Amino acid sequence: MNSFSRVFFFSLGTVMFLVLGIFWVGLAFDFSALENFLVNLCYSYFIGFTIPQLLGSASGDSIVEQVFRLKVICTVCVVLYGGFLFYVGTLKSKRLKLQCLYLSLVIPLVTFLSYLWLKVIYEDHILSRAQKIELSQFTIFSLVTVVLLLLLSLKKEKTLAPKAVSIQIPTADDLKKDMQDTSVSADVDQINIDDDKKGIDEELEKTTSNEQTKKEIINEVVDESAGDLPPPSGEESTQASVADDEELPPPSMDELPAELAELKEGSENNESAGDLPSSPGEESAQASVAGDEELPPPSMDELPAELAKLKEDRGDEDSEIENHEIDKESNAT
Amino acid sequence: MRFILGILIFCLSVFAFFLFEGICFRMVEKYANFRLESSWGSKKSENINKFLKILPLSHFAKTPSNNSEVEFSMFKALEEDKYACEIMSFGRPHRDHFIDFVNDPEPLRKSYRIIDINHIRGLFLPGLKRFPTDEEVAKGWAGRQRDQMEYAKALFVDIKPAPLSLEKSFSEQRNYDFFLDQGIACLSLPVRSKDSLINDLRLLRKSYPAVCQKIICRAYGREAEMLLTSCSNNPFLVNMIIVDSPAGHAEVPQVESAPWFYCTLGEEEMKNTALVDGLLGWVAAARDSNYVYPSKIGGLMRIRDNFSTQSLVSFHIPLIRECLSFYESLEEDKLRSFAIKEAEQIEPTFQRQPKVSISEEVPEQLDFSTVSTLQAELPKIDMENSQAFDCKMVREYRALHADDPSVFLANNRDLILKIGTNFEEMGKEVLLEVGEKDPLFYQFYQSLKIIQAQSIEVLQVP
Repeated sequence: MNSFSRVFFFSLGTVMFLVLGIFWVGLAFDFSALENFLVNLCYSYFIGFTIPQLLGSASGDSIVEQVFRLKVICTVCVVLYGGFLFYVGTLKSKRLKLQCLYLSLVIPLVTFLSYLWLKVIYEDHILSRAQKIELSQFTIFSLVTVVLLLLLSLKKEKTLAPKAVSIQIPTADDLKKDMQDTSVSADVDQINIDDDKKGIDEELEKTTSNEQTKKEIINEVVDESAGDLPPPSGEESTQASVADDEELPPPSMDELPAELAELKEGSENNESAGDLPSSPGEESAQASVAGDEELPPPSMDELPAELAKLKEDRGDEDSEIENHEIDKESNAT
Repeated sequence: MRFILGILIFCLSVFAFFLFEGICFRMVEKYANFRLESSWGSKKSENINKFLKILPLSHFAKTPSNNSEVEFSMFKALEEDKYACEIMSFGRPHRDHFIDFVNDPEPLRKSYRIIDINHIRGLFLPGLKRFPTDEEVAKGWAGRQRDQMEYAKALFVDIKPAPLSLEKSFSEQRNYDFFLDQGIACLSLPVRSKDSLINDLRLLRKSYPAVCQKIICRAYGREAEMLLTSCSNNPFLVNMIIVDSPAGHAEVPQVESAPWFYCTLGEEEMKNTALVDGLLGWVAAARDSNYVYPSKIGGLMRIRDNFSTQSLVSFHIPLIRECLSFYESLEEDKLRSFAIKEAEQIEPTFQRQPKVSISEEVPEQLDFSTVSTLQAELPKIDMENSQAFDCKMVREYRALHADDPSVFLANNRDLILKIGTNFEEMGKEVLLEVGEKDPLFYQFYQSLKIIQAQSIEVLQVP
């Protein structure tokens, strides 16, 4: 199926050839209007030259010669442009077609302008003020047209992404902002540790919990960025620094400042004291912490009747499975 | 690909620069004068700029009178026309200005003083005044140094047939206004004979020496002939002669520093070879100078046709300007010489030529515009021999006899006569066929045959 532009160019070329045919038929049948048009063109002046003179006719040429020259030049131009339009119609890309069209206007215009100026420069032709204005107007118009057409022919086509997609993609600024937020919260926690020496256990727990959240956030961010876009170099460096922080060994006691060393010793003592019987306050605190992590299952009495029944059935099944596995292991041995 | 693109861009840049320079030269008067002075030097200079000479500038066009091989006056006149057009290209911005001035529909006209000197009526003075020098006081031009005296850069005398009406047409008046604006006094002088013209010019010089230090005379037709006759014996009277289609001519003044000369001829006058020869003699004499400016533009000839008539109206304007500035520079050092030339310095080309003074003797078919057109159509080749009488037949003949040194050394004129005679011996039909094939050759042969016959007649007459 033919494209619209191809049909357009082919039909335009055809029209030009048809006009040419009509032109010559009209001249052959002595259509007075057409003849008068050509004769009047011979008496029309542009910057002091008649039109045939501008097109290369000598000053001594008769009017018949000048009209014939106009006919020939008109024919040649129409044939060339008609053929050119057919050629443009065969081109595949739209951009190439437009470029060819622009250049088909630019090249003849520049050539004619140069020719006109060379004629003015080399001929003994005197220009009046009005003719100079005419010449400058034509020159400016031609130059502006040429520049515009050249810019259009050099313009590159842009590929536009849908808006929804572009909104969803996080920018590097967004990612940096997230990172800064997380690092600020970590710093604040660190300051609290320094200030509050007494509640060191709680603070340590907090810091560990904060580190966990920080890691989680970083992991989330990294996962997101890895999933959507290739990470920027800044992010790579932050990830690398986080990984380095994780792998670094803890500082030795000698390297730590005296206060921190004391604190660390205190925390180690607390850990070792975990094996020993502790005070009732501490026990309740530890129990609460442990209860959060691993609560004992409710007793059968505490459960409602239906759940207790379900648990009993489950308990039987589990015991059967365990027995069956023990049998398998014994057979294997 | 990049290399080709680079060369293309370089070529385009050079072309753009070349075009821009040409536009400046064509449009900007100051730049045109600057380029002229850079090429030719100061007004008194005797050598042109040897560095700029390398460039293909119009200022270094070869003068046609140096080409002694061109013997036929018509071709010489055509060459002169071409040369004048090229060498005076620097004056086009000034001519543009003149045309605008003359054609201004609503001009702001200044008032100038008009005086009568005896029977000479209507001398327009530009109104320039200055204090006289000691020398001028001593000469009696002014009473004393404190008195201001009226002066002009030059006097432009428009010689008219008598009786003369004092009323002037608008364009003529505007012409005068332009000259007056430039500091040149103007006068329309009716003339009955050459003696009256000489007397009037002398009277003007005597009455207003500060105004008539330099005189430019312009005349047309019969008055132009009178002017030439007057100046032939009194070359010191005028500084520049402008003649349009003179009815006749006079002997060239045999003095050094002859007045500048500019003439225009119509296509019809071109057939009068005696007149053309005579005027070419004036042109050559005016250009015979050691100084660059007069040697280049001291003598010029233009040929009028339908198209160039309008443009030639202003051709003399930059020429007058250059003439005046040249004589001004000479006056500073009093360099103008009216010494009689030695006999050897007379241009020999025109003296030896057989004169064909009657226009009817030129063959009818010799159409000058056709000849020049046909010659222009010939492909250009570098030839060591003369370019006069160059045609297709001669070129073919030379190509066929490339090994023959006698053909190589022979003139185109001799070859045309030889080939034409051979064809004619074969029959007139053969010659006509050749004429159809190469009409330029046929026309050359016909004209040369007539000239040869006339020269034989002249030699036979005791």
